[in-house]
Amino acid sequence: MSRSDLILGIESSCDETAAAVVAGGFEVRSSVVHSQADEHARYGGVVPEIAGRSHLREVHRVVEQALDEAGVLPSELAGVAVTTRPGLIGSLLVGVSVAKSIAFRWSLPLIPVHHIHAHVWAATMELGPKTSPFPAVALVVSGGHTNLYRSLAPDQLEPIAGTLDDAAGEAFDKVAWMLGLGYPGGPSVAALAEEGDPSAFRFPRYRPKPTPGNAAPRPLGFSFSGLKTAVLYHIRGQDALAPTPPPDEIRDRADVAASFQEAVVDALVSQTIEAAHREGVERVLVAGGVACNLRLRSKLTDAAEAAGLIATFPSPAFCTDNAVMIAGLGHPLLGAGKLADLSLDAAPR
Amino acid sequence: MAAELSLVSHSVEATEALAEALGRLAVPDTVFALDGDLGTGKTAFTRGLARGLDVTEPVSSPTYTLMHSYPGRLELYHFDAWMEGREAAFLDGGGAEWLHAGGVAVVEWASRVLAWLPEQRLEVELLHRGTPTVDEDGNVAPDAGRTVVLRALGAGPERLLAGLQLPAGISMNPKESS
Repeated sequence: MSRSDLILGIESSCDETAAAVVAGGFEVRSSVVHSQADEHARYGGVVPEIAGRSHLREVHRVVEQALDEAGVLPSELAGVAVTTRPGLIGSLLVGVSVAKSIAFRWSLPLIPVHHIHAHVWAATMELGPKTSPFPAVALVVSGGHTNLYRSLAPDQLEPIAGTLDDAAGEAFDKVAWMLGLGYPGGPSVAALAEEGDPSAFRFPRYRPKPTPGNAAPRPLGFSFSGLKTAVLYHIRGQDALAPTPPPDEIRDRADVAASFQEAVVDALVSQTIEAAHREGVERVLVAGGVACNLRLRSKLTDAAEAAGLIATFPSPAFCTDNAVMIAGLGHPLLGAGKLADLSLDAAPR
Repeated sequence: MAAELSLVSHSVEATEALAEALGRLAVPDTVFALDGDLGTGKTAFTRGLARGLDVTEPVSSPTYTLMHSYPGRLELYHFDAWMEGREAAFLDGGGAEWLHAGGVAVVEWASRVLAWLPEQRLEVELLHRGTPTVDEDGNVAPDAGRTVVLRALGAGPERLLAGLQLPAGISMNPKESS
């Protein structure tokens, strides 16, 4: 029997229950994503207990639908790939348990996948199997991450820099809240920013301080706490002791949204380009939910081009959590024999 | 009975040093209930506390996972109740067990989830004293500083507060009213 190259991927690390079938790492045969957003909306964000229970309710239907849409029987798969870390432990365990039982029942290889590696793989999928993206600098930017990595292989990311405080997506959430916009803040701030002037206010772009008495270049890194505070003081009329006005009394809301977004994007762009220079790579891979942000896509693409680099983003559907990236990355991992047995466990970090 | 100390922190570094000193004195199950407006230094406080507990991992925001734990001299459990509905649901669903798991807990925006916090706790309130300026590079410039109110609720926290020696950059608040 000729071995197929079809991998079933399962993702349940946060608040999306997802399954997909991908052939050979790149060819998407099916992708099913069940979002729990509605269930968490009234809490203003993901509640782990609720997420775990919801995954349990939906996972079988989602996996069956992914197999059906791909027209594939479990016996025809080459392997089952599943997110094992990082994420909410009660959510991860649901996907891991289902993947284990499918692997056991059909005697399939079980492939553990690191969620962040998979997000970066989503960007490389845009290039197709003929272009090697490595080595590259990867920017992973979402509600939980703002990190730069040296990306050397599909499952090899070495940290270069991270955030001192909030993740970029979180800064969007907090500014959205100040401006009376909905959760998640990324899309709602970006939509309001469309109507505003990004140069209306000069909000700070964080750069790490140079090490005193050291001729070495400035360290790389992110911080969004000062920016968030600057936006708050602006809204309060530069008086920290004044109360925060209700959103409908903030006259320049759109300009604030646009200027804030510009500051976040500029900080992400400058640190990423600088990291690529220092690493001597030609490619920048961008991944995570904030990679959907159109302003980031356009400014980073332009800045990369001007610097003689190429920036690659996942297609918008694969920026947020999905199982295509899990099934996709499963292929090279299977090829490299990076498999697990049925004692496979999940880990929050 | 509560013991209260009203202080002034003259810089972010001083706030961190104060928290570090408190971290060094912390015993198992000490709960720090942290409150303060955006930009008053809650994250800096938590960073200092981690240092005082010999945590080597960098401290980042726990908003996404609702609680981060860090290994140290005592385990540090870092909560953030900014999204109060989520944090309340989390504490209700078993997360509150971490408040008495033998480590040290710090809860940002604590007043939003007071119902879940133990009666014995050290309340830390950070207040603006003026409007700081944020420079081009996103660094908050030295300013009028912050008022830091430490309120010990219960015998354990009172003992902790009694043992505190103020680090450089921290002084007693001359105006009891602020």
